[in-house]
Amino acid sequence: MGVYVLKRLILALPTLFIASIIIFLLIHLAPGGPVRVMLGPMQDPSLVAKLRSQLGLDLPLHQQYIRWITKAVHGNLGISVTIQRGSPVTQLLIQRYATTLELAFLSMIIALIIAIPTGIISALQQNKLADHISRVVALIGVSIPNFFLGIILILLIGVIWLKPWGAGGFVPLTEGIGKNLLRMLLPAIALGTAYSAIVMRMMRSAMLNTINQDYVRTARAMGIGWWSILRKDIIKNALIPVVTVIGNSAGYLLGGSIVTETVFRLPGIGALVITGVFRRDFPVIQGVVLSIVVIRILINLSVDLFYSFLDPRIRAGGSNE
Amino acid sequence: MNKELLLDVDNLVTRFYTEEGVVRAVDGNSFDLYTAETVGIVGESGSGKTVTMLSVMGLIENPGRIESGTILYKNEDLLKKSDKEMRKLRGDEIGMVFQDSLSSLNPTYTIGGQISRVMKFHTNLSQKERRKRTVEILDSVGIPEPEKRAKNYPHEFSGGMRQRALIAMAISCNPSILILDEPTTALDVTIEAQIFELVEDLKADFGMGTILITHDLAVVANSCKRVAIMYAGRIVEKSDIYDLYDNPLHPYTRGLLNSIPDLNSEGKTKLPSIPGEVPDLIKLPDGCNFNPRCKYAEDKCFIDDPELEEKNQGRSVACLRVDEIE
Amino acid sequence: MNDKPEVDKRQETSVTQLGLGKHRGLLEEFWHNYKKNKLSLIGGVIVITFLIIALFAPLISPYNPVEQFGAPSGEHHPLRPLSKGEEGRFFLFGTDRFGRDILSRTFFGCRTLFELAVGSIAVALLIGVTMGAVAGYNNGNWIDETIMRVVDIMISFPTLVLAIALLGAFGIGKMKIGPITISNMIKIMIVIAITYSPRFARVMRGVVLQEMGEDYVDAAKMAGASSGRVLVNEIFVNTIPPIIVQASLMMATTILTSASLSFLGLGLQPPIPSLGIMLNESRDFLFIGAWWYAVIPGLFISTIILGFNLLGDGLRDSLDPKQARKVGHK
Repeated sequence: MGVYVLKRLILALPTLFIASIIIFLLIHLAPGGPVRVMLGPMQDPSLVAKLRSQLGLDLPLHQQYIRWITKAVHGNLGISVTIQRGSPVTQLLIQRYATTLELAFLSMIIALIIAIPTGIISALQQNKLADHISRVVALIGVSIPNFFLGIILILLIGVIWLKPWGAGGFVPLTEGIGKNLLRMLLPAIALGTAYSAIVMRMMRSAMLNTINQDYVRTARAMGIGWWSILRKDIIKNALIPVVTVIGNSAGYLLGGSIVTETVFRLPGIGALVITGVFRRDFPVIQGVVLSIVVIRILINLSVDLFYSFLDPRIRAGGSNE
Repeated sequence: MNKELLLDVDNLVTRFYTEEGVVRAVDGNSFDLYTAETVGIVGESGSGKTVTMLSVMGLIENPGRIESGTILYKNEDLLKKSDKEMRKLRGDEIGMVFQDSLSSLNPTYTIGGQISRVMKFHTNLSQKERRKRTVEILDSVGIPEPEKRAKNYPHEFSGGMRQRALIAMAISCNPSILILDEPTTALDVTIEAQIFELVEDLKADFGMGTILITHDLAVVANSCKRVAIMYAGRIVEKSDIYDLYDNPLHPYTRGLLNSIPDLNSEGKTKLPSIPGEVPDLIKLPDGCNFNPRCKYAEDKCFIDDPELEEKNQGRSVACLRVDEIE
Repeated sequence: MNDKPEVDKRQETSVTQLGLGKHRGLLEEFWHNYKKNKLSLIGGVIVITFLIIALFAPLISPYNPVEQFGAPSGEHHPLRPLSKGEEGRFFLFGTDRFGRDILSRTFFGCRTLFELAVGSIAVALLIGVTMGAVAGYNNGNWIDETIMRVVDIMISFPTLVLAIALLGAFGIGKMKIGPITISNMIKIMIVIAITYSPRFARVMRGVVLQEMGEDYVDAAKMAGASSGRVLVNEIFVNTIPPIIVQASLMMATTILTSASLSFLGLGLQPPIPSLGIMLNESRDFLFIGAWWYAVIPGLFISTIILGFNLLGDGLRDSLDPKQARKVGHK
């Protein structure tokens, strides 16, 4: 098992390496060079030169990359140039990630609570009323952009029903978990229900696929009870592909939380990166994107581990693709 | 040992109502099974062998339906039993082993666990007793180091071992009937022989009646006394195996026998196979189902549908021209 | 709502497995299957309806979408509620914060949304198909390896995050590269195209590899056709259908991405009528009860995406040979 973890970690390194090069090169895509862009129209040549050497932009490209990535590995993602001039990007990220990860985590839980049972019921009732209803609802759920869903929720709950919730603001965790949860709940429902539509569809098709497997027929032919077949033969095996999907779509939750944070004006990394784009704060943009990629890779890794826990074939075999 | 009638299937009709039309998967079949004997059911894939057995097990699902007939197990009609009664019967009284051993076992469940679960539903044994019994059964079907192997997952077993494990699962509650659906198709010849040896032993030890489904007449020849030949959902010939080999009556049986390699012939002579394919069970031809592929077919074969008729000493055949062809 | 890797994966495999265009009468068979699926028919109707709205927006819109009608007499704010008539004017869906007709803006918003999505897909096709074809033709060597590695990694970025990163580099609004000015619209198309092109590259590579294994390619090579000729004449023709199917399947996600970017303020810029921007602006007016400001454009976006999703599901189902009804006999 330990060897397996190590193997997966090593396999993830080249991905991280190439991703970091892409992210690094991004700022050099900026037409006219990043410094000119950041300084705007007022371009005192001596100021440009100063900022360039301060950011290390006067060095050859590969040296710049090595400098950047070495610092990044040590947790130093540079200094914010426009958003909070002089603040370390890492510090900004840590502040903001608390909100984003809380939102993503809550949304995931809400999504699973909705999606897994609905997917199971829908598959068991295939082509019956319950199935048709949940499929149509899921299809609509997939089709509504989550920023619109968020706005609908604000309208329904925030305006009409529960005005005191005030969907607009955010209370940091330190000001009481309960209050925070209450305010995080609405955004989490918006993001989670949208995500649940995807997971539900996946769960349903995985279930339908498993129901028709030969080992289910074997279990039936052995006179095993319905509940045991459902649990140990159908659901357990159906969850394997679903877990992969959940891992792969962690990016969905991060991307979705950027939008959801904007709807609910939450100070997460979404708000940070968007301000970063508006104010051309390249170290911040790089930091956010790199951290999202790292988190994604970490999530994929943990999904792999969980996967090997679910599927004995992987546990023995080592690598899976 | 007294010969006792275990299973008596009479005029069984099973159909599937699909969007494309009605599939006549089993069309009026009758057969029986006594203790300690093996009956072979032979036919190409798509001829309705498996559906026949699934009907006996009560495992026909939508859009399939058993239309008519009786299935008497120890003189009780299985078609009149409730789902719950049938579930108790399956695995306990009638065991079934399926073709593809890898896909027929749950990949995320240990072999021992899967066997033990069968006993959990049919016996009052405690978990500890079940575990002990699982090891005994694995040992009895010839799995080495059964204690250790019980903890393995299906993918850690070889094909032959998996097939043994499946048999172990099917016999764990000492059923009276064991149905084997193409049990050795995926295995090589030595393993195949071992599996049949195992089945013979079980039959002798417990007086189990066995039904062997296969597409291969050669397999049947080694292990069955009586065989039924199925074609397009119908039994077209029933016979003692020796008589069948000596004098096949139905043109289809002749075709099947011709396609078995003859050990006496030297070199590689091309085996004659039956031209054509099994007909679509939705659109069966008029008259005899076999007429498109039959070299003896004449006008009446395209009009009249032959019934299975008794010829002599337990031989029956469904062919209009059986007395005319030699 | 931009990453649906599981959906994409399924689409890719099913599309590559099809080997479309090889069988005569496939189109008829497809239509036969397709029309059986009522939901996908509904999808088709929705898509065509909105396509007509987008095409004829200038004709069917009652007002100029950027014309600002000042506050009605006796009011302080130009925002008007639903079905508001005054002095010979009628605003079915009211007006927005600047007094612009919401109905007209919504119609024009559909138009820009379609322009953006179709443009992005077209550019993504161009980039992706080229990458995939080159990779597939170089099957296994370093060119293939490099391209596919980059493709894999780009797919592993959440699409919206990658798009935001690219916009971070390019900046907001129109972009100047030396003497060339690229309009904001084109720039966004390119950004979305870059984020989606890896998916086309994957499909294309798969199809090319499959086609290269076909006998007719060998035959063409043996007959002395040059590699480039083989690539264009024999392979390309047979890869068009699956790629087109993939493109239509990706319309829904592309529309979602472009609307999301506009909503975030990173995409189209005012005063261009955009459904995403309308939703963004509406947030300030939710608490005074101006629900229609958000709901009308939101319903339009959702319905368009629903239409494409239904259409896509139907397309996939009617093209997937695995969907052939399983019959219970053996």
